[in-house]
Amino acid sequence: MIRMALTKGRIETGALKILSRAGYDVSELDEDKKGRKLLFRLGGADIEIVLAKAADVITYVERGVCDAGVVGEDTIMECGAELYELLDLNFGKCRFALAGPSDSGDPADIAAAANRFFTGYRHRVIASKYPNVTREYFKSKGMDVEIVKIEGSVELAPLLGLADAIVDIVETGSTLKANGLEVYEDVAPISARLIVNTAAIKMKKAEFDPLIDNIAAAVKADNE
Amino acid sequence: MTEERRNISVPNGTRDILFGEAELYDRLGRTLSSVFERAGCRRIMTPAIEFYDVFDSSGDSIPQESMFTLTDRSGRLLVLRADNTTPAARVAATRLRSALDGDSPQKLYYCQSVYRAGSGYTGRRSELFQSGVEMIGAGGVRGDLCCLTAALDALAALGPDFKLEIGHVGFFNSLASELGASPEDVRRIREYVDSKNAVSLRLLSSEAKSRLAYDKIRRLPLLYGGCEVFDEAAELAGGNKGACEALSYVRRLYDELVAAGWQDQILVDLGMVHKIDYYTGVLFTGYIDGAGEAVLRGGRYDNLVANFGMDVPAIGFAVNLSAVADTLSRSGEDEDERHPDCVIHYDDGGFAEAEKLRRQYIAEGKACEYSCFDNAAAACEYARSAGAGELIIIKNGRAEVTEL
Repeated sequence: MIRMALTKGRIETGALKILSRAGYDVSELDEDKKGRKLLFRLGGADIEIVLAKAADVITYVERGVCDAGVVGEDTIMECGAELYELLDLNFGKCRFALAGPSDSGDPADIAAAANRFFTGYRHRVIASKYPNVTREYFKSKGMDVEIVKIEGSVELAPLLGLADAIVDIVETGSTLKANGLEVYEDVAPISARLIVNTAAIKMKKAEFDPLIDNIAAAVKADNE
Repeated sequence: MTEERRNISVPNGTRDILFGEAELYDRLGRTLSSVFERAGCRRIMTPAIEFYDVFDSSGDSIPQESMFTLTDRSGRLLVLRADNTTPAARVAATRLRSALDGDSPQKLYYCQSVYRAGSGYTGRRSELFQSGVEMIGAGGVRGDLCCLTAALDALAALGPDFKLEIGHVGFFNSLASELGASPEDVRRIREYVDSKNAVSLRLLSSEAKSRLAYDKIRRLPLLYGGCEVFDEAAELAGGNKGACEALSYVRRLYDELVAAGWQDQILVDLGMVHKIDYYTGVLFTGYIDGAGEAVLRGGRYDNLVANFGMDVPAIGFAVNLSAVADTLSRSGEDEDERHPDCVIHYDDGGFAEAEKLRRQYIAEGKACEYSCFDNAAAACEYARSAGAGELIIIKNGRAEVTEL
């Protein structure tokens, strides 16, 4: 039996679509049928589905109580867990970006603001819900910054003068724009990923191989 | 103020291990020790603190930030034992030098913890119990098979359902040398390969001239399984001499072990690169049923002992006892309650008589303990709650036995 954890919400919906395209019967998880249950079985296959919050999906898979999981790259990057990241499922796409104030949306203005941000001598303060991602990003740039962890509406931080810029998930950029912020630089692309436990994939190879192949084929078919 | 500042919990990543679980560790340690002794290994114990230089001279294999450091009274930098292989290499190059000079391989084993500083609340342990083997001076394919069979025996002693997977550090290293990437980039790529992060590997940008080399690296994460892997790996290795040699060497070990009857347990993973990077040849990883992580890791490290002034080949592995114990205690193996066979209470002046009886019980192999209470009623209460088989009360020099 393979037990797979899906991140509740949008990722769950996307993952179920792929699983169903991959030939698995996901009817037990239909909105009108599932109620408040958190543990399901896929019809006709020896696969159990668990619904959980993103960070918990990582914990379950890392600890081996679930063999596989579907979770956003944002959570994987932030949690830094010991697991295998096998497939890009190609949905839930967005990106981590560094954003800050700009005089206007004009690319020249944005470039000038970004340049000011990267070149000044004053110590930079960055607000983010993702302190680890932020730390790694600035480490790779060789910049020493102060990171402030914010729980919600990170866009507020530069407006209130708490931070010089933010690192956050950007989908369309409209929330940023509405608050006078522009993307200085992309940090990393994000999408839903199939993760697997490092031991389970070896011990249960015979069960895993067809599952991975089916999912990969379904993702490919989706893209074409 | 002082009350509040006293920290009486245990530091992050450490834990108290009680009763059944502690006994489980003990049992596992003894099981493996006996496996290793039968494989011709002798036990060593090394200090929990070593000079920083010892670990520093093993290259950057263990990142500095994951070591616990302290200083001695003269200000010299010490570390808590961050790994068991490095101290074993030090011991071999110093204490065992003359034996090694006489070409006699030194097969060592240990059962002691290592300390790694984790970051934050990841639930990862700072203190890991390990039991392992280091065969110093054991080179070549015979040295490898000697160590691999010890690893197979160790896994078999832990449970019926297990796998040992073999790979070779030369396969990745040779393919990576074609990338024309900086050492920094290669290190990052190595991390991606280690975590089978196929997605990040795919996202790596490559210049046109090295595209083919990158495409090969991208296929590494899925290059694991049974003998079917060799064909695809051969295609990847192509004209790369180092990769071809590594591959044919793994093939040879695989064939030998399969022919010797280990066909159900041996797997191959050519995308295997261990985190610690003092390895120079064959690599292997062991799994047992139910464990969420590998429980055994090892490989050949022919250059490590030379850092301590003695140029000899070496190979070894460690079993992560913490991971094994977690797996077995999760499957409920340690839920055994202990009951004394007998509890003794004696009135003042009755101790000599009591001791005579107690020694008799103990000699018969029974569990027999004194009650620490002043009166017989409390002793009786205690014996019942402890689930004792019988209660003995010694009064006026006479023993009165009550079955419970």
